Amino acid sequence: MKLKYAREIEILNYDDKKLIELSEKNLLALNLEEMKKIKEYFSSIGRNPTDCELECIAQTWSEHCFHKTFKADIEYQENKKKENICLLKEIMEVTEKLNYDWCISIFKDNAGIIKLNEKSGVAFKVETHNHPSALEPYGGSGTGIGGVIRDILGAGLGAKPILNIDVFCFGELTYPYEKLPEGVLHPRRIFRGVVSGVRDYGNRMGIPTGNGAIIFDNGYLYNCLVYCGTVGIIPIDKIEKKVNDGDYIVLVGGRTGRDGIHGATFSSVSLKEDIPTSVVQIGNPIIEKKVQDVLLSARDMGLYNSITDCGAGGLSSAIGEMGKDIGAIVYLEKVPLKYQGLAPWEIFLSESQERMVLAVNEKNLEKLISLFDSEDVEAVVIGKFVKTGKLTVYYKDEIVCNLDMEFLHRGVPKRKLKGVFKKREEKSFLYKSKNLKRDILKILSNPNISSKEEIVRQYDHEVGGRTILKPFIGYESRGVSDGVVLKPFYDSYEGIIVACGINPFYGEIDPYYMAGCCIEECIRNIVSCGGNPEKIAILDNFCWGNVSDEKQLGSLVRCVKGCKDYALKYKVPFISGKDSLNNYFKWKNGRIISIPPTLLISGIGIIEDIRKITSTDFKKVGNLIFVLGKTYNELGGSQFYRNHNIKDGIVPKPRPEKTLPLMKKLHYGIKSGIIESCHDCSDGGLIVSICEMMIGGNLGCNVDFSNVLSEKEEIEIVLFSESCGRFVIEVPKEKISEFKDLFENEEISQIGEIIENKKLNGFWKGKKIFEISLNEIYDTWRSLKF
Amino acid sequence: MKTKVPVIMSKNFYIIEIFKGKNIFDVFGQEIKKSIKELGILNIEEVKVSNLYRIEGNDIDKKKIIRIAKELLIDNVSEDYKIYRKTKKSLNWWIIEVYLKDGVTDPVGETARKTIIESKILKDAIVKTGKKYYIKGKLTEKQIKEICEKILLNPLIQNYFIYKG
Amino acid sequence: MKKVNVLILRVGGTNCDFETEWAFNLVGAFAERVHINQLIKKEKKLSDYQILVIPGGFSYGDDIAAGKVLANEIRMKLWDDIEKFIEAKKVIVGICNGFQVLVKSGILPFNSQQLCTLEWNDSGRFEDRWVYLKVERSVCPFFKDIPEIIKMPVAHAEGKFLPKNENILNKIEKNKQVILRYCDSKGNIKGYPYNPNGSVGSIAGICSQNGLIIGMMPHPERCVLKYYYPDFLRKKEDDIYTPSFKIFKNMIQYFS
Repeated sequence: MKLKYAREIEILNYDDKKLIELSEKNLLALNLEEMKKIKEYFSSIGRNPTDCELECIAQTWSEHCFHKTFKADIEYQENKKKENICLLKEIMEVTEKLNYDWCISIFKDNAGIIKLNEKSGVAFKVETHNHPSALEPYGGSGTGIGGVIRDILGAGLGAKPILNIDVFCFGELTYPYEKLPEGVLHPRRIFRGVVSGVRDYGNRMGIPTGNGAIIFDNGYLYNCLVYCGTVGIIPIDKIEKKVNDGDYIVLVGGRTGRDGIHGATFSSVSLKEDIPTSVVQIGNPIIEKKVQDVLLSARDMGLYNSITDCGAGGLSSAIGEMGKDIGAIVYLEKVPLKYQGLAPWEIFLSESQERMVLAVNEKNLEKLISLFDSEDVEAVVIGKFVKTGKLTVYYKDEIVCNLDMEFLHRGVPKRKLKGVFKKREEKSFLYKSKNLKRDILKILSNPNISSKEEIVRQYDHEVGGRTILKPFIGYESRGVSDGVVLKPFYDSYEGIIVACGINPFYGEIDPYYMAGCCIEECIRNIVSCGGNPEKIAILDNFCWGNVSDEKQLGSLVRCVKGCKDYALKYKVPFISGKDSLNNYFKWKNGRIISIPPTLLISGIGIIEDIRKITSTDFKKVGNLIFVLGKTYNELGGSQFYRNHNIKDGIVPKPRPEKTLPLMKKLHYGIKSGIIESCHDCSDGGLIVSICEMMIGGNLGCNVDFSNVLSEKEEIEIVLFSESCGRFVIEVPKEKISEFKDLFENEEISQIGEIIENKKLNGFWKGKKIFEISLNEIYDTWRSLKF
Repeated sequence: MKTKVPVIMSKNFYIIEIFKGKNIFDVFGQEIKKSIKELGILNIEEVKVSNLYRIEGNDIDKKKIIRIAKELLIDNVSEDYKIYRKTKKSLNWWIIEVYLKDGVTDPVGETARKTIIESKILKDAIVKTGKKYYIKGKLTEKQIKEICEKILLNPLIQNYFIYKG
Repeated sequence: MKKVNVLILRVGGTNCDFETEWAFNLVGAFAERVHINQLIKKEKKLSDYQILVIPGGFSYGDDIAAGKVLANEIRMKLWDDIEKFIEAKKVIVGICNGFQVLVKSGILPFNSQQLCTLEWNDSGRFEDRWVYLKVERSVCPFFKDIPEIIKMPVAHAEGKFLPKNENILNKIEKNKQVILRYCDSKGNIKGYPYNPNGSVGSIAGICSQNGLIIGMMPHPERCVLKYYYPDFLRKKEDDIYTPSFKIFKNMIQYFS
């Protein structure tokens, strides 16, 4: 084999040691078994691979693209019990069992799609972009949001993005500079870069950012987490896509450069003190915006048969995936380049941003190209889908890659892994507060609880004219929302609600209950805005540490089991998901630091009428305050205990059998106008919910905390426990009998009244125990400067 | 606009430096000063920021570059400009120039190129954008390097040049 | 009655074209989103329309400076058409990015060279927030019967109104060309965050000498119905249409 443009890579004569060396040297991130499988394939066809072929296989088989851990056979041991488990199956089983007819495209496309009404669907996807954001926060987070927007543009025949969400985890901003190893950026730098990266890309795309969360914990010092999500709307008749034999492969959008080479394989290994720099890149949102504008017109004109985005793995992944059941021929010299000098494999694997791949029938080709041309977007034919069953890639007259699709997509050996989970004993324990007022204010000023206004205001919340319930609501927009409510169509009052649930602190005690709590928090947030608990779909995003460690993998399995059990109990289907594993940092001396196991649950709810929602701000003096749900001694992982460095305590346990019926009634109560404000109880406990409701309403309240239905009569439990299944609500006096009828036999308690005087007066059995002015609450909650 | 990969043969270039007018509040200079103090470097008196456009073109000359600056790039109300080819040192200031490395996407550079070509002032051009920082204060070169790498830029994607005052 | 034709100009990076189209259609106009290349190639004629809108967004990424490149392009490629449009006493509306374009191309305030600008916010950041606006008694006919104090969202990074010198400011004020000023809920002129960007004279919007060309940083198209107000759940108002709706309506009625 004499090659002009590609390079032959010797493997046929390599022994095991050399195979592994090859994988490591070329950043292929393949293990020995996989390398042997590749050798076997090439032995059978009697030649060595080219560089392009080897890179293409490594990318297709990467953890990032193929999710080897989620598809693996895992031998899982919990305490003394052993079982075999496949994580992906567990998650998908939820959706299969629930079998809702409104889940229309699940786990097969770029995003999950559910039915919004007879004519439209809504697509939702959440991605992570952790490694790139740790190295170049601005570019990494910008291309993160750019990437997930393309996922939505490539869902079905293309959905129109209408909402972005983002969730970040950082190290603490006050961490001393001098303690960080060389090359690791300070959390403050990462934080500022990530926020401005997401801001500049999202705002320029004209997509509102309406929901999110930020968590600060030193577990994320070396590996920040950057979750970006996008919601889009799509006509139901544009969901089905199919590549036909003979369709042209058309590449549209940005040009190809050396950007992000090895991104897919890189994200599947750890961050080290010495890092390759080709993986970082800067996005250009205006190109993507132009692509979006034309693409959606082309979709409506029916000019293409299938579409996907160029993300991790670049053209190799996009074309390989689209043509997997047919075959494709690609001519790499036709790909428009940013600059000369790229090797064929670099063109094929490049992860340059803002590109999409279309499958176009010959009869539409001219029209499509001239449509893109009319708005200054490059669209170029780079090949054809043909029924060969092979991925054949040319550079000029040379075949640089010729692989069987069957081998490429189904040849990867299944991994056999081991996971162990040993349950940490939860000790029932109660820490008594020495000064309630001080403890309350300390919680309000904690970065994980306090106002994020300074950050959130940097995002456009309402571009597009669809945002009804905004992140800031109430009196002078001071209050905060549990979720965001959108009105997707200008000519209808139908709505969607988006919210999320995340709490890594529970995971340190038990990832199973963390999963349950996150799922419930997400649902609670949606229902609290007026959502229907029976019309909610969720997404999972697992970010884990070094899963080659049996304990880390065990905790992941434990968490997935929690996801399955609780999703089934709350009857919410998973419609899409993603895992980002190997979020760990390797010091030069070999020490490994994994991130805290982190699960993000994002949810989307459908409602009939956006006029029948509610917000968290107290509305009117004289209205009564109730707590729905019972409070338990569940302070494990709570903000109160973390403020006092207490690691013990019981982690909150979701109680779906009680909470689900309660939420259905709450939904009815909001819809029929009985309930005038509603806020869920989560991080920081009941007291934080009450304070935030006061801020949003610019009103005070008298509350007797001894009236709160609680497992134990202890003020600390009532104020600070983070038990699931609870809401604080406001009911006008004239609706009280209607309210009581509705919630008959439920666990509710009347705890106080809204007053004109701008103070929180706290009582216990009729005796005043503290008094805090609204000013002090508001100032403390906003005291943190980022 | 169909664009080809620009191939500019000559190394014919000018740098346009654009800075805020006298009475305009330089918010970015202030922000950087704040960040430097957070780093624990308190000996800092003043920070100023300019934008740089390094423009390369076969048919470029001083007259054309002045037109580009005045007609296309600066805000005639709030900004002013300087044109140079070689950075001049300054007695009182540390000067740092930062450019994106070759191959890193430069959206502003691409947009500037588009508007230059559409104006027909130049037939074709390569535009690289950068930042220029002026820092005043009793600082060591080591401190300036620390400021650069911890605040002003990311050496993974940017090159920088320090001119000692 | 023949509908008023509204051209909503679109370029790479325009974002608020759809909701602006909706707002104009809601008040009874015929609004159409038109790409700038269609005007340049003469596929569409500006003279067929009564209102030209340059909507919000980030035209060409706001690279170089907000609205700058589109202002250059309009000067270079569409100037004759625009001049004729202005001479014919037709209406031009610039919202947010559109305001930046009108000011940087010199169309506002006096259709001359550039005399004002919209500088970076004093905060140095993009900010989205709702503001109170005082409706000035200006030469602009579109604010007839609008309450004295209204609310709208602003969402921009470069919105600090800045005239070249005192004389320009005096002339704008004397001519009654200021249409909107940032204020508090009672109409008092105040600093940040009421004036969200540090605008000179708290100016949020201005018009041309004849009042028919207007530019403003706040987004009326984002709040034509009461449900878009961040506190709509606190008020029990019957009228679902807001003052912003009325402003669009007034523009259309000018042609009847």
